[in-house]
Amino acid sequence: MDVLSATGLARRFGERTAVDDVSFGIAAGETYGLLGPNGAGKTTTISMVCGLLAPDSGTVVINGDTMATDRCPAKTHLGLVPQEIALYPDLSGRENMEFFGRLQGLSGARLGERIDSVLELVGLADRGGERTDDYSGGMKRRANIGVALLHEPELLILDEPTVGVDPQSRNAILDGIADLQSSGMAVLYTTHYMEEAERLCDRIGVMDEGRLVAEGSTAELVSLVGEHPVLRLEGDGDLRVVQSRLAVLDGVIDCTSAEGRLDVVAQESAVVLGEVLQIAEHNGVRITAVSVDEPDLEDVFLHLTGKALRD
Amino acid sequence: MASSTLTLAGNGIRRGFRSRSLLLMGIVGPLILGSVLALAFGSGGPTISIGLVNLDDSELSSGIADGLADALEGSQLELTRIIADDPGDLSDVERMVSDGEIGAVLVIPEGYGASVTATPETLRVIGAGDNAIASSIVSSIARSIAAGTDLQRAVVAGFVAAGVDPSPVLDDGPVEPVISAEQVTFEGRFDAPLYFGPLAIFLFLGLGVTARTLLRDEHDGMLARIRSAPVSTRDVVAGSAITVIAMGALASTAVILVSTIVFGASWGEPLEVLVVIAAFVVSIAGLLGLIVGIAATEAQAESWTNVIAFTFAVIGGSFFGGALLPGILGTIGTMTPNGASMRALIEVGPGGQSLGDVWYLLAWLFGMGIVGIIVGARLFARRLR
Repeated sequence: MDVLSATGLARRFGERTAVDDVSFGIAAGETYGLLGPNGAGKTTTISMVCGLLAPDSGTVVINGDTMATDRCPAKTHLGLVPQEIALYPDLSGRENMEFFGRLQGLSGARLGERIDSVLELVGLADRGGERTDDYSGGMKRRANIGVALLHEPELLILDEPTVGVDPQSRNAILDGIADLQSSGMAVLYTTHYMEEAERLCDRIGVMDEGRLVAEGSTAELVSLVGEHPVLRLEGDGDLRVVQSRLAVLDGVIDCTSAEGRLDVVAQESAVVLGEVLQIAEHNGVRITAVSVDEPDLEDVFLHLTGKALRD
Repeated sequence: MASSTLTLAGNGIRRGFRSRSLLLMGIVGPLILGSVLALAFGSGGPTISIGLVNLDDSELSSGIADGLADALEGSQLELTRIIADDPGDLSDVERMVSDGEIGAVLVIPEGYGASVTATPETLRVIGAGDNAIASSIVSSIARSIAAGTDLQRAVVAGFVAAGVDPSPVLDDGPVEPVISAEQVTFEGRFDAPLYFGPLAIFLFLGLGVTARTLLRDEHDGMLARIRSAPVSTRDVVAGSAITVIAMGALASTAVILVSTIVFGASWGEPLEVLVVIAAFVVSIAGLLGLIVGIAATEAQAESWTNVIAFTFAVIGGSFFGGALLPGILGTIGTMTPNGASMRALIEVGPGGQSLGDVWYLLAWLFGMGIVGIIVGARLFARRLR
């Protein structure tokens, strides 16, 4: 059974449809990435999953409990890490955790134990007594994630948790999320960063204009849209002759040349590379550089939506 | 009440205590300004001048006048007996009051003594809006005298109803007016208006900061995190309202205690003062709730709060006696939380009335607060949907 099951979610704001019939599920130990540009409907979808917004239609079920905007049991199963640093700057890290832990129903010794454990987990054990105002950006991000883990939720929702974080802290955060995933936690992750989605997510849902336009692993999405690797060659000589020979070669889908560069789109780049080099040599072209441009989520996204992810 | 509501309120109060803005605006500001005003206008124990015009030559009325003079002997109320040249024209007396020569005047009408056995006559109080303390004291005295007269009238009526001649009772002289020392005198100073004026302004501004936390939390993602926990929107709004009211009550109490203990200020009966202050705090919590419910951004809410705080301060009498002015200006002033609270404080002040006598002011303040909180909460909740 999926930890999270979102079915037929739809939400309108006046005349504008923000989310239209979105369905997806996340199993225990799985990380699901929700990818899309600003305005795609990611935040509205997450808001409905968290019970912050009521859907016009559709349901969200977490661990068997149906989500609602009021005080419902489903909320005890999730931990939300908002994009913003949702910590009170005038309270210490520990005081912030006490407050949010109490809201999640923790109290007494259990609350204290969980705070100690989470502070340890996010590397703030020796800084818990300091005001979060005095934390560095990376520390704030880690504390921001830590607060969501206090009640040991089955589902962790992270809304662009690495925005504005230095590379070192970002790596630490991504490693931490991977650890949580391996401990059996279901993770819903939204990001603008393609490499984060590719690194962390078992499955990715691509959203555009309120709809979930594709879903699957990175490899599945790439094959779904029929994207192929591009063999890029640079060399001296008449590349146009080579281009005309390659265009009729089996396995080559497309071939273009311009200003000392030759781009070959093939079913399998490794297979055609040898033949390409032979043809080049035979025609007096000296190849000086070879690279393979594998299709990634950016290409998938461009293919699916006709726009770049950061549009 | 849900434990999450209390958790939210507790956190709000804890953060409020750490907030320099509330400390400065809610406590330090009113204390400094109030103390400066008290030093300038309220030191030395002012003598309040009141007058008495006795237009009745009955034994009862003479007894009342003499009894009043005896009761006020040695108090801070200076009684002046005024003889009206023309009983039918008290314009000179009214001018004396409006010019501030005398704070307020009690008029015993002609035939007042005879009214014990006939149609009741009404005592008249001539007061001025800018001297509400004197007016309040004289009104209190008038009510006491009227109560004594009513008692005597009831006794006579009882004799007559029983078919017994009431002459022996009347021959024994008038029933002494029941004038207690507490009603006509007060020890030390009455500084409540001097401190309450600044307190009202600063508290409105200071609590505005606390109330706007909701908007700030909404913007900063804090509210999303809170509402993703098993917490309803109602819990969030109730927690915020409790925080504002509690911080207002604590700040007001601190101002009252420090001004009393350190500066020797006199506020009046503690219970009555606290009830009036509570009503004021609830009323501004309601108005701030409305502002938070309507405003789109924190900056917008802040500018509205500032405009409303100073508008209410001007027309409500925090700077001068707006709510105590006669006529429409006074009525408008009294409709503001500042004005209604100021009037209530003065009326229940030393030698003044009871809480029951100012119920309409308290009802207005509490009503304004409760309606404001409910409407503001609904508007805010609608925005989150």
